[in-house]
Amino acid sequence: MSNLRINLFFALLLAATGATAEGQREVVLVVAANSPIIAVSSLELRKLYLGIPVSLDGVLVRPLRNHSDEQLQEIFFQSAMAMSEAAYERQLLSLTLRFGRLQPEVRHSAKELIAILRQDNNAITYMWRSDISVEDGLRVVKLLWLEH
Amino acid sequence: MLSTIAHSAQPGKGYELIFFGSAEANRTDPDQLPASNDALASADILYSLTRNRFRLLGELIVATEETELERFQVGWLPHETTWLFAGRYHQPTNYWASIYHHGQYLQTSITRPNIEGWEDDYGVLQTHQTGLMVESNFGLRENTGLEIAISYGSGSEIGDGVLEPFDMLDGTGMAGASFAARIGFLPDILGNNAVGVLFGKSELESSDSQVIIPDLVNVNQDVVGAFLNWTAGSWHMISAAYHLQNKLDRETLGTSDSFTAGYVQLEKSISDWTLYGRWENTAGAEESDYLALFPDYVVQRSLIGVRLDFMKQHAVTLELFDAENGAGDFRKIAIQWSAAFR
Repeated sequence: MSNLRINLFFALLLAATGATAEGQREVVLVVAANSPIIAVSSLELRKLYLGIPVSLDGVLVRPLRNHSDEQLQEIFFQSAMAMSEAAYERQLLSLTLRFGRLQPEVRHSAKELIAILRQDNNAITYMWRSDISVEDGLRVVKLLWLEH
Repeated sequence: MLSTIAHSAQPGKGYELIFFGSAEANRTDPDQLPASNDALASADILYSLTRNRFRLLGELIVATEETELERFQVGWLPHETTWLFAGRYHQPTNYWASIYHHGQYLQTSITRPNIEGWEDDYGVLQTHQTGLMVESNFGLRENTGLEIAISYGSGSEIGDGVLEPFDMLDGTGMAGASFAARIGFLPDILGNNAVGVLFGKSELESSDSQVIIPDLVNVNQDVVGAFLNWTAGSWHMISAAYHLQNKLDRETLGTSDSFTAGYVQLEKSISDWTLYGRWENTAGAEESDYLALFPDYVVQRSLIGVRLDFMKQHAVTLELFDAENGAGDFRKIAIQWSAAFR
């Protein structure tokens, strides 16, 4: 019984630090559990976050930027967009200047993003896997980064 | 200091409002006027509205020396990366303008290459056109792509040492017709690297204010060119070359001439600093009757500069150049703050 309590204690501690049960952190792409969006390719993901309208599985996807955590942003820009944040912001500015393109919305808390995802089946965002609980009603569509 | 403007963006519906600000101090030696028509301070206001497949874009410059509606485009997006529109826009053969428009913060250097200068800054290529344009990106295999831009619309008038395009605010400058096209290969359809070719054909009409060649009626101008915009690691190069054939229709005897102009700008980024240099030249300038219409056109320039990016989307740039125009050699030093606010 004491071993079970010790294991439970360490599992909760790992969860609090954003790690999986194996001790690795993950950044994932998530949608609402009942969203029609099943899969997103790397090219589609880059298009979405560069302001190009993308339809997936019959819906016009609404991409949301997650500004709740600086490290999360850094990982997203390097892993998904293959550029630094400064280069990404500059690219968005340039695309709006050249083509009038709309830029993805920004949100500053995981809680706010989860609330939006639950209300909008077309919305998609990235977050720490540890920020998601079963009760949130979300579904992971892509693993963006796994800590080594 | 301008505050951040709130905007809304839902998929396929929303607007963007961006301010590009800049302020510059410069000194020219010898004090040749007008060595440049660059404003000392300017605000470039960009507004775009998207409603499903409808898009409107406007770009207004409010500057020390002018207020001008630089672009006003209304159109339809039949495809996610294709836009058909009517209005006033930067015609596709001017590559620098197609990339940077009036967003001073986005271009590394303070000055733009003279062959791609604005009409009121002694540029000799028509930049603003009013008419119809289509821009599109096509995917090829393995994430490569083609960008194509084609336009047809009004030409420009030739004024007193400057080209005068159609001005939507006061209705002046509508003249002739012009066609322009740009085709570029994109090794990454979502990236900025591009290499391609440019074509243009314009009819430029001589206005009453043009006095250098008094019997000039119009100029029929053909343009062919090529461009390269490439970033590799911390290095960036942007370059273009243009060959212009000009047929001057005069009341007495018509003449023809041609010249070639181009530039290479090389940039090296080190953390928040960017060092850059540019070399521009024009071959055949002395023999060109067309260029004689623009005595302040800079035929040759060598420059170096350094830029520091700081805070969120602010920059300060120092630039020095040595140049030559119709009045002779001159040098200029300039320091500029630029920024973007959204």
